Amino acid sequence: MPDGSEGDVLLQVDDLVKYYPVRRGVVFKRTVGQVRAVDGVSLTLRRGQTLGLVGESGSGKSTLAKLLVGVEAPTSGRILVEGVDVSGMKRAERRRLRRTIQLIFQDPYTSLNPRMSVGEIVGEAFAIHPDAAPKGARTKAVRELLDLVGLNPDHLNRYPHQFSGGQRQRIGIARALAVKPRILICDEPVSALDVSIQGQVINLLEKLQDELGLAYLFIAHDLSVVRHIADQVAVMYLGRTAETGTDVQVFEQTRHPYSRALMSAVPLPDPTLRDTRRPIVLEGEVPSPAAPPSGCRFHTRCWLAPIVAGREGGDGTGVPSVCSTVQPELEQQEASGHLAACHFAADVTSEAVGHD
Amino acid sequence: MSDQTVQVLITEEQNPEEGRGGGSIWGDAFRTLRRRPEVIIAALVALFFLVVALFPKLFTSQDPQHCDIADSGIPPQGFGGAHPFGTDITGCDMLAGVVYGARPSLLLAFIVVGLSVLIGVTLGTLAGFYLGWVDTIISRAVEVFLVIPLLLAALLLLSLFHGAETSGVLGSILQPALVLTLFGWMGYTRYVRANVLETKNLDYVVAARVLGASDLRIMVRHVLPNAIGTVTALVPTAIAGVIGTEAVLAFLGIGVRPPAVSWGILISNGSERFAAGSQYLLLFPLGCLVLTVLAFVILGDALRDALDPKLK
Repeated sequence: MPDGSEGDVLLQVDDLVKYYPVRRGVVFKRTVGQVRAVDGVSLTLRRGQTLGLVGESGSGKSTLAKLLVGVEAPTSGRILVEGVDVSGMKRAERRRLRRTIQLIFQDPYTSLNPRMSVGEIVGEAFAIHPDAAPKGARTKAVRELLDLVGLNPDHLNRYPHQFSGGQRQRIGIARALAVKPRILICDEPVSALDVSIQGQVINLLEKLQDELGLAYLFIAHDLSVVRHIADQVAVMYLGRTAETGTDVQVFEQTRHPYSRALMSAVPLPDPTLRDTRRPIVLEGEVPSPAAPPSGCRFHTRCWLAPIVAGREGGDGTGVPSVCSTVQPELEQQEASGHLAACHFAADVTSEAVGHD
Repeated sequence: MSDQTVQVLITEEQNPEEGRGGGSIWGDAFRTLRRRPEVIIAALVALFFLVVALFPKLFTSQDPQHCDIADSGIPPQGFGGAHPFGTDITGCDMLAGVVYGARPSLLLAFIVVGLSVLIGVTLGTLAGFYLGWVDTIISRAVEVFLVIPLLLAALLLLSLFHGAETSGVLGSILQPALVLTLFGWMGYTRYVRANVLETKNLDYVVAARVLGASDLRIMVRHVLPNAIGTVTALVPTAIAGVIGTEAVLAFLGIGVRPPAVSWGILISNGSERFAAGSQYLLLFPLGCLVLTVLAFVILGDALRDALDPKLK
């Protein structure tokens, strides 16, 4: 993947942080702690590209999406949209920005107002931004949008409950497209859908990307979907980026033990391959983001740490001391643009994956 | 098959959805309601009493104020007689009383419920939407008003202003209307606040925010329509409750004041004579009240069901 010039960068996120305060008390609420939902994430999204964001539940993916669309305000860090910092913007300016970034939701059943017709849902963008379409042409614009996402434009007056999950997701996409955005944040857009419908929606997203030159930030659980649609992949763990690079780099030259564990959990359709690659099973739950582990956040569940510790003769805890004390930074791997945050990144591929 | 039949079939095939669910939510609701006989009967009863309240002259030629002591205590004579519903102890015509009493009773009920809903929905939405100090102030106010007993407060306030000069139907019900509204809005506030809390974090509200919708638009277009369901169900029962409370206030002598008549006053007067053999003095106004209340309760329940998209 050649590095695009700076002008191609649509969205740049620098060291973004979002802490939620934990408050106690009935009358006088005092802050007793912080949930570190997003803790220093940096991303770059280029025109017409898809950045896949993967990670377990609770890794901060959805919080990141909310920060990017401006529903939540970041604690610190910068969000640059086409080179303009938007994190400290006022309401009116943010309103204009919102036309650039739109959001596709996970659950098509809660993302559409049940008391508004499809025409009202999709056309609401024009009521909010009167300059997006002239008054007389709004119905026509809504019909075109419905046609664009593969729905019958004559169903304008129907209500969401009269549509299936896949059709509802298309309505959600049409609503987002109404303001002519350049970036779509897709927050697990297909995980609530039937597998056969997933394919249709993914294909629709790809078609729209080709036709409209959209950039996607594609958040997903399903690695095979991410691999299919993404040009760049970022792996998140407990609010931090574990590894980032092109899809080939992250999926085939994995340099972080957590990404490796995720990849090994992808079901293989070929039974002969299945026997040769045993999945790495991570033990325990994701630690609480209110009290993340010291040093490397992954060291409490890392499968590589005991191997390295055994080789180097550690202090008997089964974890190299550097892992539990020093927070690893994202470091350049062999290929350009491939970054991984692991002290022993070089050992990830050399170690047998099927190690017991 | 004739050409015309074919044409009809083709049209039906092309618009299979027209009949079910092509229109608005209200259109759908109307179609559902139309098919329920108890709803039609309730609507007719409610309509009848509305007409009585609006045009009392259509139903009686007597003046409720014109009482002849010589005609005192005439039992019901049936339609055809001079006093179809009989007369009370002071010789006032009962039919005229019931007919002219409908307007103050219903007007009071609509004013009180209308104002209470307006205040309750506004405050409840603001409290649930913004939370923080707005919610603290509104919620504490709700609690303060809830712990004051209505009758105690009504007695105090209404006796304070008992001497004030009033005129006309509106004047005679103004004081009870204000007092009942003052202690009637809290329920709606609580219901709406709870529903808004539930609704405001749903994805479609976030979607509207992402599109750049203003707080007002989000509240009016997205949050309220989905949070107001329980309130539409409360309104008919509340109308019934207000007419009932008005009767209690009249019974205590602090409600709608004579010489104006209301169902509450008639019930209160009639109940004094109930044991003395003049049961009709109580039964006629009470029957009207029960019928009106029942009609509104049935309408309210049916309307709530018909407007809920989840019940389709």
